Amino acid sequence: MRVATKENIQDDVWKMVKYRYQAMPPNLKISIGGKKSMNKEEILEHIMERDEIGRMIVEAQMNFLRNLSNLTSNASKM
Amino acid sequence: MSSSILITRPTYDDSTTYLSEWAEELVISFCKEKGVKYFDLYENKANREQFEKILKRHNPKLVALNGHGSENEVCGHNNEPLLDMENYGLATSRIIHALACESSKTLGEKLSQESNTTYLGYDEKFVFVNDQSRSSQPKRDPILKSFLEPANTVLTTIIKGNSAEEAYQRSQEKYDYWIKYYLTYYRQESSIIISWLLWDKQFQRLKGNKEARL
Repeated sequence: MRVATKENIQDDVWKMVKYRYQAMPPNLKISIGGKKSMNKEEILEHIMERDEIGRMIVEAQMNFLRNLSNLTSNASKM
Repeated sequence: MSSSILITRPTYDDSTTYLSEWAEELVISFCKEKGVKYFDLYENKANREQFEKILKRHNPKLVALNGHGSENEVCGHNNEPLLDMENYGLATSRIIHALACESSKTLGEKLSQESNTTYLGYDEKFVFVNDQSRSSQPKRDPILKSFLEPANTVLTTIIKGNSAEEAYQRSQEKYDYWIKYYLTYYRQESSIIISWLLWDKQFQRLKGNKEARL
């Protein structure tokens, strides 16, 4: 699944993920590994910096979108 | 080998505190209910000396690690390595569950090559989302529950007497349950929560002896 690198994530993808996280409710925090729990502003900083955490956030979101069709079809069988 | 459980629960930052609280809620309470003997290394007792002492003296079959980790180690209080490439021999012939980042990649791989040893953990960073407005009562945070319940299902399934493989399958199914839940009751934050549930599910690993039981 780890296919995204700094080179192969297009600008549009970074923007799309940034918009999604801008819509995240401010009460949510995300804990990624040994990093302290990050709030919305800290997450957006990683996305704008396009650093390792930012790339992970993009990978997770793109993986979700790639799997959305299967996930939705499974959810309808609930 | 005794059919007891060693649980490590460091609490020196938000992440370890949340893991610790939910280990108490889901695993320790279940041990009490089932009358299963457990050793709880909580807070600063989650140190290397105590960890090694209990492994040698009480020989627990199941080891449940909660904490920060890397490819080569799982840590206890204040990031002290509890299990790593130096003392991994103490963990052989056991079932190890590591609710920590990346440890199944190298440490778990190494242990899984040892006879009768099982390693359940994550090949990538373990990620969770929580509701900051419930940070003083993390056990009442339903978002946090959706991440830590699937992970701890491995342990409760093994405590019930099932195999490691059955435990892994039920944990995967629990991830599916919560993914479906957030798809069905879709709200603003669902795509973010689902993306990380899917991440944890896809990087969860079972290595070594799949038939191992408590």
